[in-house]
Amino acid sequence: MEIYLPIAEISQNIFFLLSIGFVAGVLSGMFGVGGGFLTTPILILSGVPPAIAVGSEANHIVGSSLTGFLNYFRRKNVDIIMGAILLLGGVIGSASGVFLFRLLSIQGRVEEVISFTYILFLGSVGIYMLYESLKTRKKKKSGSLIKLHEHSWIHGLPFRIKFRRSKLYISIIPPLIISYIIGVLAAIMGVGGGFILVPAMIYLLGMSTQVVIGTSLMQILFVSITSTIMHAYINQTVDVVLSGLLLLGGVLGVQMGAFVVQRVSGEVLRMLLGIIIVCLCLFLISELVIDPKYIFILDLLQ
Amino acid sequence: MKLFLIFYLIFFISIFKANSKKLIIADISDNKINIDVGFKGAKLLFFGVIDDEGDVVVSVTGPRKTIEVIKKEKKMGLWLNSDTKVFFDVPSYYYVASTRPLKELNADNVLQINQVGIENIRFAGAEEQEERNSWVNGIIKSMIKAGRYNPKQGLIQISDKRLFKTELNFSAELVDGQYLVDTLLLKDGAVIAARRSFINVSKTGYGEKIYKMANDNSLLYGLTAVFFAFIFGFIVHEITRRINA
Repeated sequence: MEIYLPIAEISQNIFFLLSIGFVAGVLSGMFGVGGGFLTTPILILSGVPPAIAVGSEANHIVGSSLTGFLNYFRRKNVDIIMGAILLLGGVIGSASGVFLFRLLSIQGRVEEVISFTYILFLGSVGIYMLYESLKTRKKKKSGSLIKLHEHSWIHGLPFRIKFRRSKLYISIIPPLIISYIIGVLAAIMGVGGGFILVPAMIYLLGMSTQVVIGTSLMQILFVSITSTIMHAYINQTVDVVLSGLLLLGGVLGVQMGAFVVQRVSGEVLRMLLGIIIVCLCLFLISELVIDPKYIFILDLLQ
Repeated sequence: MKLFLIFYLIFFISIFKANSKKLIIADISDNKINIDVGFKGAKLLFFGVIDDEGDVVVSVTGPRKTIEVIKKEKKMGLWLNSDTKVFFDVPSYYYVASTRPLKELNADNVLQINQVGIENIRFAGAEEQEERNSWVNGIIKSMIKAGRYNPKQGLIQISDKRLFKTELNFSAELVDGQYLVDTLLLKDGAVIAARRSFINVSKTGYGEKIYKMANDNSLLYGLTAVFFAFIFGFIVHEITRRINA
């Protein structure tokens, strides 16, 4: 069954859109990522104009991350203070990211920078997650003790705060810097940044996987609200029919994801996310290397 | 009704026969296409009368647009964007139907002049002739892939040597605006009669309301979009909480 998307000005299969929404929902329920890093490229490949895919995806993430956030909030798995600090860094970061984006687009190098940063980050994050989770699994099996997290000099910088939910007593400087960098990247790549934020919170800040997901959803929620309004106001690229269908498909997915999380241990979860990220990275590399079917890409202007 | 129309058309032709000019009279079953959220494409009946034997060619051209084209090129083993060019007056839609395949008409020159047939579409852009051809061919290929140009030629049926009819197929990939339907009557490789008809494509219903609000009142539209996503996310959470409780 086809449906006409009024802003994208194309028609798409309803069930195709619902199933993309479902997959994104599972991801956001399980890993606390918006799923934009996966759905945006799929939508573009299926013929949705890139700008509209990015804008509508932001709107979709508002809904799905709110559901996920409320779920984790109820179970007291959100660190509000940490979330607020991450948000602050993220907002400043995305503002400078928009500026950098403009600078790059003047030089006509945006797309290449986007695709290379994607591959670089996805590749290194994914491979590290796989390596670490496999190592933890082995250690657990052999019964040796696992440290909650390793303390290093970066945690000991000034302005230390107690993050009760995360069971941390660290300086606010590392989370600010991390979220700033992620904000810059997110603005350039047109995604929420959850897929980098989650591993960063786990490995660099040493938060536990369960709290990370809820806190990341909080940050994604606010970032996606801002970017939906910006995309709608400045570019008119938010298609509510498209994002509504994605949301509808995600209803079941988010719940399923959150259900699975309760029954699976942290390192298995990290391993799964690692596998997905590495797969996407390989896919992006293949796009660069394999001969494309069409070497001319069109954008209909008014 | 149809019979009446045909008589009416023949009557018209007999009047115009006084002039030695050849004539085509044609009409469309509907000269409006409304795009609503459930739009899946449209089929219109195009029919008419010719007053001389020959081949009839009908082409449908969508509103002409400016497009930006990015060309990919392999550099150091990687496919990168090598060049960007802007083209003007590119038809956003193209469809052609004919009584015989275009190649069999032996009228290549005439078809080229009248921009009939996908390979004869013209638009403005890059200057150098040699480079231009590869870009234009690439644009046409991508347009076909996007469902905007129809590579399959439609068939026109002629009955009683005078009446012709064909079905105009429109994919769902339509932009709004005025579409031109050009009918040519060809004989011995020359155009002996021509006629232009119009189809108006516009958005209606919810689709139009959404489109209008997004463009005219974009800040409110963005806030509404966020608001609905919020309500949606909240309701989903509440429902599952009650189910699980």
